[in-house]
Amino acid sequence: MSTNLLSFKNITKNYSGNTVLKNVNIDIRSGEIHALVGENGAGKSTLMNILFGMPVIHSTGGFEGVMELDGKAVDIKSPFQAMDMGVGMVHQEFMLIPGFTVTENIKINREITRDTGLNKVTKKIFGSRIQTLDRPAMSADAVKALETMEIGIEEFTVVKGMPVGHMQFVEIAREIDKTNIRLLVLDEPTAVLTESEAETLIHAMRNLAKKGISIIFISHRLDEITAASDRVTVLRDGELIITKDTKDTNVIELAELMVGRGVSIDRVIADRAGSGDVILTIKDLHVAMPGERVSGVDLEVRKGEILGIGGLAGQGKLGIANGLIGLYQAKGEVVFDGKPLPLGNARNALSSGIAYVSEDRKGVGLLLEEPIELNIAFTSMQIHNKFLQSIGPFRFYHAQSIRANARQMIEDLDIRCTSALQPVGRLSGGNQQKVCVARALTQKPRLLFVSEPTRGIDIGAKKLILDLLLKLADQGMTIVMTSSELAELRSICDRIAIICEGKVAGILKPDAPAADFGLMMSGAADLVKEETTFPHVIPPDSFAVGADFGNLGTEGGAE
Amino acid sequence: MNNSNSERIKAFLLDNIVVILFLGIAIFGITASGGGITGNYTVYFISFFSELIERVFRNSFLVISLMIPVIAGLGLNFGIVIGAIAAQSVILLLRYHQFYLEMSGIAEFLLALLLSLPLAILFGWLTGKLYNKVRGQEMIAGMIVSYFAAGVYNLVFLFIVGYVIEVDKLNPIIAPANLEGLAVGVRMTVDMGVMTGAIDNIIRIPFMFFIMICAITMACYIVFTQVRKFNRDRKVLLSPLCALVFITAIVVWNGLGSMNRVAAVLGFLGVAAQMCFLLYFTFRHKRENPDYTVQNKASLSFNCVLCSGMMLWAVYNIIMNTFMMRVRQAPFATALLFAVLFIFLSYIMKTKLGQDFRAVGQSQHIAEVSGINVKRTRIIATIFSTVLAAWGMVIFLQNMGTLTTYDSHRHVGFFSVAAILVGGASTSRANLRNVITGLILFHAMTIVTPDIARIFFGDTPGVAEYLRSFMVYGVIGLALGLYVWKTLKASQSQNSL
Repeated sequence: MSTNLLSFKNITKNYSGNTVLKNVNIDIRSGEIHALVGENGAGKSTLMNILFGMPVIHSTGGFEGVMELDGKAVDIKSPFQAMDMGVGMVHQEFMLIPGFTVTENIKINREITRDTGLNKVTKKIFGSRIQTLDRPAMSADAVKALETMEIGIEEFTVVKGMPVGHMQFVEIAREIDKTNIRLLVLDEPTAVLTESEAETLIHAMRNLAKKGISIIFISHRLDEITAASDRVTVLRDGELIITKDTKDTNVIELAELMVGRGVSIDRVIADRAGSGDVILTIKDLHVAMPGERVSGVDLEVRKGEILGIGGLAGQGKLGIANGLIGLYQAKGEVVFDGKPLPLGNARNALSSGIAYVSEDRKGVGLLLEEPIELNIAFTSMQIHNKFLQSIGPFRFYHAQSIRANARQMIEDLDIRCTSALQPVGRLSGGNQQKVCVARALTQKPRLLFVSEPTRGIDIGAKKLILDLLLKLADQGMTIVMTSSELAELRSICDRIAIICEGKVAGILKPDAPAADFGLMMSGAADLVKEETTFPHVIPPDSFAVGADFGNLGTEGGAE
Repeated sequence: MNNSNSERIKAFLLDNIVVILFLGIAIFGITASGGGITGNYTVYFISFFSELIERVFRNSFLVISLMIPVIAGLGLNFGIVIGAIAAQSVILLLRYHQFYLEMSGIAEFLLALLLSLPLAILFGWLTGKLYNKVRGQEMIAGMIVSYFAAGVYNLVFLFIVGYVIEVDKLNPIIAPANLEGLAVGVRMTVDMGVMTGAIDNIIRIPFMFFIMICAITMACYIVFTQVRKFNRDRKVLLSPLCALVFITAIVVWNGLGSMNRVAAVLGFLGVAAQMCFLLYFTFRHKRENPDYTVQNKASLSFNCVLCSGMMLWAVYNIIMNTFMMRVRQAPFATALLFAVLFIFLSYIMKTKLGQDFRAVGQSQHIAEVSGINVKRTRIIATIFSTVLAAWGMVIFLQNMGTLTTYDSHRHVGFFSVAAILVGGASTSRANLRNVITGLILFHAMTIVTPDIARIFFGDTPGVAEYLRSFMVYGVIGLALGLYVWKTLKASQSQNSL
């Protein structure tokens, strides 16, 4: 167990001036299960891209540092080279051909061909591609690979229609079947598995490790990491925080390390006194947003508060706002301001007084070729019939009022532009975001959804946007802010709901310890101390802290 | 998996909606026609089947050439027109020189196949390169590039021949000289001369004998595929051997004399022998593999019933010497050539290359990351298609007897695409069964359209031709629309709650 199979030495990687990995040193021993933990953007995927020599690394100027395989420096230029060296990867999104059988998928491009009879002749003339497949031999290989994992999948089933869990095993079987496999990278393999399937997978991983295959195990479920791995490495913001033996650590410590203790929270106001009335009630919301699926969210929003929605990417936090507005198919019970809100109809949601600033600024948020003033007025014109004048049967837009409104907004929000007629596509990210907010404000909403307001914006502009949201909340607007950046949620929100696996894992105070955030994001909400949380649903008589903790903790578990 | 029967039937109907629709129209056309112009069903059926057998084999290669690009994910290759152009160029060259060389028909035919091969490979390679540049838009690119190629072809044979390249003014394929004594371009129609029927007429056998041979071949195919699926028993080779003996016997018998009853008995024995094989293997492997008989039960029994039915139909007509014996004789050599191609393509699909076609067709991305050279595979698929289309055009023209220089190639793409779609193929799914069903059903349709036109529009001249093109474009539109609708539905059900 002591020899190092793979060593990352002083790995540093810049993406156009942005350092995503700083001096990372990791040793992977042969036959160990090495867990890799970190938030989104911690550098896990960049590190794996370097390991596999992905084109994205080499087209952006390569990386600094050395990778050593068996103590010898290696220079991996392409995924195929990595494959030749015995490094295999199981991707998060399946690389399986749905119409093929399990065997065909396991042996893809490594099919066994016959070398007898007619094939001898055709090989001489046309090469080995015109040789018939030896299906019995292929099936035998597939069965062998599946048996290594002790999983009962029949090799002749077609992948289409199989349970997702089984597809995961087929992926792994394909990697195992490669004869020289020595290192296997599993990227979030348990994300799609049920609890019992995850157990089977961990069991299979142990079997493989016993056979001498090293495994890099990337997962956000900390309890599984402590159950499965031998050692664990924590990355945060591109830096190596620690590498530890799993037996010397625990879930709480890992959660704390992952989120980071040293986050400074510059809260301007300690507490905002909301009126306490519930403005929005969400019950059992399901949203079919690809990659951000929501499966059963219960949440209440109080009038006048800033509610933060956080969580790791892909867990469903972005799906909530998108589903409520009606951009994706959704079902559930939503009551806004005492009236039920029908889902799946954006016009209806907007006209009832909800405004939405999308996380997809350039795709959904703005008409990039149009001037600022039109972008600001657009939704109000469509939904509220503002800025319009009727002449006979025709309606024209009212240029003066649009201009006046735009000037007001540019001044209020400090949008840096040459004039109100400048196309928004020419503005910087921060100013584009301000235009989005200006458009939402022009609708005079009672509830504002803001998703990822600071994504792709420089630090100075971030501060401005957050200050703007605070100012709006002070003026009495209710804001629901979804963000991947925990620090900014903690700096301005009154309550923070953490979404894990499509459900609310819990609602935390902004000054709750970092470890609690980490635990909730990792599906271990049951370890969070009760005094730092709010109940999901505000009890009818009061919403005082600590009044009701009914179903906390049971929500975070896997389905 | 756990679908109820009614759901399964619904899915089956939805999958085969185009086939069912056109089967319905064909049957309607035949019944409503009232026996055609003569009003006599005997005469009508004789001409119907005579036409059908000619048309099916005339177009067989052209339609089958569409199969591989569909499997490799390129969609319907409208670019087969380019293959047809390659073939026509070669044929024009041969016709020009035939005036001086005087080869035999079959020699000229084989030379046309041989010479069109390198030209079609070159054109296919270029088309494939283009398809790789316009991924996702192959069909429209294929259509447009066909128009472009036809333009170049016109330029060459209307103008360059005679104006740039010096030609013999007296050659029968060159347009007559104008007032200034210049002979420029190739004539509008060129007679195929000795090449007419070069392969069709080598061996012709009575239609009913041909049906009998089809029944034997089909029975043999059933035995072979069913048994091979589970067991590589060497005894299974007895089945094709036995089929071969019977088929040869029938053909030789037909050549020798007119004792039709003996041939009928031979055909009956041929099919019966295959069925005995099937029973023998089924019982043998039932003991080894309890699932054996359950697999594909419905399609297996359908195939058995179909081939027995064909055999009984043939035996009845031969022994009773009915009017069906007056149907035009079937071109056996062309059928044989088609069978060889059929076997060759089945073989290709079983090789590594075939597996790569399928992988690339289902997901270019996954094929790419698995190390398959996607671009090369797609180019190979296009070359296959173009070469088969070129040969298909040679076969088409030797059957027609005349080459309409500036017109023959134009409808090849649309008509072949319509045929394979009628057979139940889609832009992402096609197999040999679709090809054969499509060939028969589509040509049955084209034969009955004049009758349908007569029912609705009376004897208006030209209306049948309009109805025919209406049908062709309608099929393509319908099949493509259905395909888009199905994909949309599938993606919706995938992303639903």
